[in-house]
Amino acid sequence: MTEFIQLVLAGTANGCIYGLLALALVLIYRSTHIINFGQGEMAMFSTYICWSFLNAGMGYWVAVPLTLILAFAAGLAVQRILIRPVQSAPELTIVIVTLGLYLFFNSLALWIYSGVPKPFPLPTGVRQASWQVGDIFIVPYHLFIFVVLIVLMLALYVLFQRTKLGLGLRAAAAQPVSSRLVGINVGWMLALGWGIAAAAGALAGILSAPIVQLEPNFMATVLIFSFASATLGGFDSPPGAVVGGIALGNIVALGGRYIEFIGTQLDIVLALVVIVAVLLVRPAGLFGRQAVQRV
Amino acid sequence: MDFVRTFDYRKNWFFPLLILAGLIWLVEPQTNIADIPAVGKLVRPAAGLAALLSLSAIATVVAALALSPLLDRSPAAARALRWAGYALIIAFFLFMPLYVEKIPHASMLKMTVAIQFMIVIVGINLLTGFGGQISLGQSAFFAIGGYTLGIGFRQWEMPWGWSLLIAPLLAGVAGFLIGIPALRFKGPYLALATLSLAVTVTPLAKKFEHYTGGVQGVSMFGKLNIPFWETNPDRFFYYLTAVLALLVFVLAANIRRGRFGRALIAIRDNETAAAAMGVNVALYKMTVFGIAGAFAGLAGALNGVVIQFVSPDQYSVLLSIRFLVGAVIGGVATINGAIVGGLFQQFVPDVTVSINKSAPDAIQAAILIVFMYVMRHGVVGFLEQTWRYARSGMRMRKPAAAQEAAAIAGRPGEAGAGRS
Amino acid sequence: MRKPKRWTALLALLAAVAMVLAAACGGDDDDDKKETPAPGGAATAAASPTQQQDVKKYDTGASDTEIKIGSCYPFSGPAAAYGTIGKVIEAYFKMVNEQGGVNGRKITFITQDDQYSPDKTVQCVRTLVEQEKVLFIFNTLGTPSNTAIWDYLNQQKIPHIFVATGASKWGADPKSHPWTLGWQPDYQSESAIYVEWLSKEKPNAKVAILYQNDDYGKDYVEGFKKALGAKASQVIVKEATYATTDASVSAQVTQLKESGADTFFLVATPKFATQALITATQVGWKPTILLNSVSQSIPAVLDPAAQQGADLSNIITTIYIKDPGDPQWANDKAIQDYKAFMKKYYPDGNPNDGFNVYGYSVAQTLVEGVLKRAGNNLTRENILKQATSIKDLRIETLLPGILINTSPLDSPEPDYYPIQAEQLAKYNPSAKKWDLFGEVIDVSKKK
Repeated sequence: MTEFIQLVLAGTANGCIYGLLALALVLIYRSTHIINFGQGEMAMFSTYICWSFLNAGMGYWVAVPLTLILAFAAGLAVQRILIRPVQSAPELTIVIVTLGLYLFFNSLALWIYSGVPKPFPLPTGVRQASWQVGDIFIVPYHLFIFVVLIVLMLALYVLFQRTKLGLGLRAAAAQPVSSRLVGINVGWMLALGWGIAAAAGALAGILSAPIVQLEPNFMATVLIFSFASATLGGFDSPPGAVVGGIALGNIVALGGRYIEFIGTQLDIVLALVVIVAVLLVRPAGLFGRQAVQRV
Repeated sequence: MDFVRTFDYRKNWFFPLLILAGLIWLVEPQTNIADIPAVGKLVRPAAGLAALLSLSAIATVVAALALSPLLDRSPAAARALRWAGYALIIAFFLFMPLYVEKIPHASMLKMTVAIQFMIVIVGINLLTGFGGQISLGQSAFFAIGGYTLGIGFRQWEMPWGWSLLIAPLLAGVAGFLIGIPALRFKGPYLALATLSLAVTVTPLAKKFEHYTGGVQGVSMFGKLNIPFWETNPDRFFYYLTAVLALLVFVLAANIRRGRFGRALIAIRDNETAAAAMGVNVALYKMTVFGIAGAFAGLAGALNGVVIQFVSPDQYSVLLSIRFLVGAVIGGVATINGAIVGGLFQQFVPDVTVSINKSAPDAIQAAILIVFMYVMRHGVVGFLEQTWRYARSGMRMRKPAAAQEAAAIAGRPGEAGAGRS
Repeated sequence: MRKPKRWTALLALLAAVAMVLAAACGGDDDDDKKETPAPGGAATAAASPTQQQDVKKYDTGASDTEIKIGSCYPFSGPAAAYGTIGKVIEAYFKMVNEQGGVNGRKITFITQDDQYSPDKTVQCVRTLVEQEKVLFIFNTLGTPSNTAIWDYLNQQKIPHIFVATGASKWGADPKSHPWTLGWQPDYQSESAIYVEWLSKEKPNAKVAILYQNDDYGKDYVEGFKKALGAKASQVIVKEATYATTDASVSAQVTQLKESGADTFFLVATPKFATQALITATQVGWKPTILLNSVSQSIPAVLDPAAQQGADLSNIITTIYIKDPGDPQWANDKAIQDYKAFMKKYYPDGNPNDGFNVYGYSVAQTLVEGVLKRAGNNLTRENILKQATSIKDLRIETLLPGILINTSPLDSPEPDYYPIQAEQLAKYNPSAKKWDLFGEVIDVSKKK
């Protein structure tokens, strides 16, 4: 029993990491209908920027907000400069551009920072040592991430469903032409979407780094899992991304332990099979909304 | 100078680009540009690439204009011209062994692998370019091909020739079956589903090590025999690959020009409308997945034969991405684009590494992104576009300027080169 | 006009099928038939064992003025972090050239990108041998990549020396592949050292293993099991694997803890090793940790782990090379020379990167142990001869007491493992250094 609980905790912690990046993916998709394959690498690069600040002596609670602001600005810039010219191009073109971003940032980070993993601290103030409850060990930092994840998810939910800005973002993504007609500045909405997503990605990277360790590929490995999480939960649903992530983390952790045949070798295969199976039943993901297409 | 002012740069950008890029390419060795940190070494290759592309565009334009009278006169001539074009390409590859050594970074082995890439990419062109289904899972079918060879060799000492027949069959069936769930998925969900396929190959190959040899892979060096009449294995496999590739290309072209291709395009452009017009969407989608899978499987088996080694880690998601990128660079909605795509994915990484060992992928990424702005239909798509532009009356001057000039000269609608 | 097209297609189809069937019929897997084209190099008169250093003899790739060496490294792709080895070696050869070269000849080091993929490595090596016409292949990286090329290189009789992997297969059967040589202490020997230490210090240990699911990880585990012999199933209570595409190993480590093991054999690359160390402490597991030598770098693994509160008081590893980030070598002349070299010749590189000091050391071995000794006899045969007859070569960046020794195939006891000595060390968290203990263990005696 202890093992089971401990595994659930581990799986959930991993799931939160997936969920954080998945939120950024969902954010971009909801506001621009683009799958950004470069999200992970942009997040990784922002984390390196944060590391540079911390390395230069800046305090954690100064460096992190600063990085988020810079990431936001960078996201805006990327959208305006790189994405806008291909906005109306076929889906594939945009996919390729985001893949290009992936390759570019990955390579750049390796060049600038080398492949040696760099230590990344916990937020100052968060307790390092685990809490022990009987035989169960709970890591305070994991709880912290979980809370941040839920808060972020709620914030995004509120943003999209309850604010005018959110409405504008959704409208700009779904119906750009009509939105322009009612006075929404579609261009800036899209840029804003990217900016917020970049900041969310940076946050994901910064929070994941102490667990996954900061090196140029650390978000690339998370990306596939986040992608799977967002798909499972529904690409247009922030709660879906979170639920998807936590579910995925647990399937991998528990499946790897309790299903003999799967073991730790095929745990990812199991997870993906489960997701595809779910999608067969609900093609838009658990919480996704089925798009109605006009002919 | 009036010409310079009224020149339509937007439509004819390759002329000034050639001059500019050519100049840079010629002059750069005399300067210190290469010493600029980080970007200095990129200038000359970038200029060279730009010059090459503009040159091919201009060559297309010149050819189109020169042959225009002939083509306009008889449709038979147009057909003959097309066949001449194919003959040229076939001749290029047929006589390759004679001059492959002269091409920098090239060798017969590398050219063989490049052609295998082309086979995969043709499948992607059908699936994604004409069918509109983005697949990130082609590396899985490639792996099926490679492991058909590997497992056959390891377990049953199966002669490799059989794998060339069995692999496309297996991979094709797998593709067809993958098509079933793919019907339900759109956009990012399809991308994930196909990505999952690519991700699961490596762990599965490692798990079933009894058959696959596990992490060690299957080494077939020296055990793959060639027919008695051939003394040079490199050459034999090159021609074998080339002939099979030709077959694949012909097949794909036939598919595209026939009813199947038209149905695919209809599905791609508006699935609901296509269904409403009686196209069996499900069947076509599954079949095109199967075809793309079969091509990739064939290429995978050929690859295994030529490299004489298969192992789980070489079939990764990154490989799928490289296939897709190659397809897009060449022109995903064309068949001939696969030729450019295969060559690109095989040789450009070598070039980028020789420019900068520390960040070669960054350079490739930059090339990729720039291509998406300048040539989003790929090289071949671009050249086809340019050809049509030249054939339908290209415009050297800006329309407004031409009209202004005409008004000033007092003559209505002066032709010149302006036919809006 | 569809008919002509279908007709041509049919013809092409028939032609291709005919070819394929011919191949299928002609292709049965007899071992004697050979595969690849004739070698490009001229074979030299072998025999005479007497010194012939002043007589100039060259194979393809060597001349009065240059020695051409080739290798393949992952400069791009997920393993690009290893690409720095290629770059540091290049820098080292540059330094050697600037100091006059080797016996008056400059070293030309030609490298290509193989993206850590065996099929690209095959293409790379064939290009180096057939187009670039290098004298020999040096320090190619990765077990699967080397497995894909060693048959070809041995058939072509091209020295394939000091490969950059610790797999035990490179030296296990010199008769089958006499032209291939490893360099670093092999993984199975390392595992054997841990087993011996355990049998002395913790005879009733219960071991849980976390290993990377590839050749490298499996080699360590195999060595461990071999050394345990019949006791393996008793001693090893749990095994778990991870893939390099995994994000975190916390679930696996949790499993291992819950198995009740009191010893943790950690076979992981730096990032994952750090994760494992942190997770172990976090879930309240305090085992004796056997850390594979691949992840013993203090700046890359132990410092980051310490930062997250990992308990590092009970970690054992084996060391053969000095870690530039370990304070006990801060005033060591060899490390200082290395750091000066890095600053001058490879300023972009990270001096604390264990891969860099590795590359520096293996390049030095090549120059001092092989090239200089070859003199003017730069035939492939002689290169191999020199590489397999190294006697007590001292490379100063290796631990004191470690000497490089090899002996050729035709000697009574062929030794194809250049470095077979390591020393156990225990980590000292307060001083942040590895405390070497015991003696330098020579595993060659155990083979």
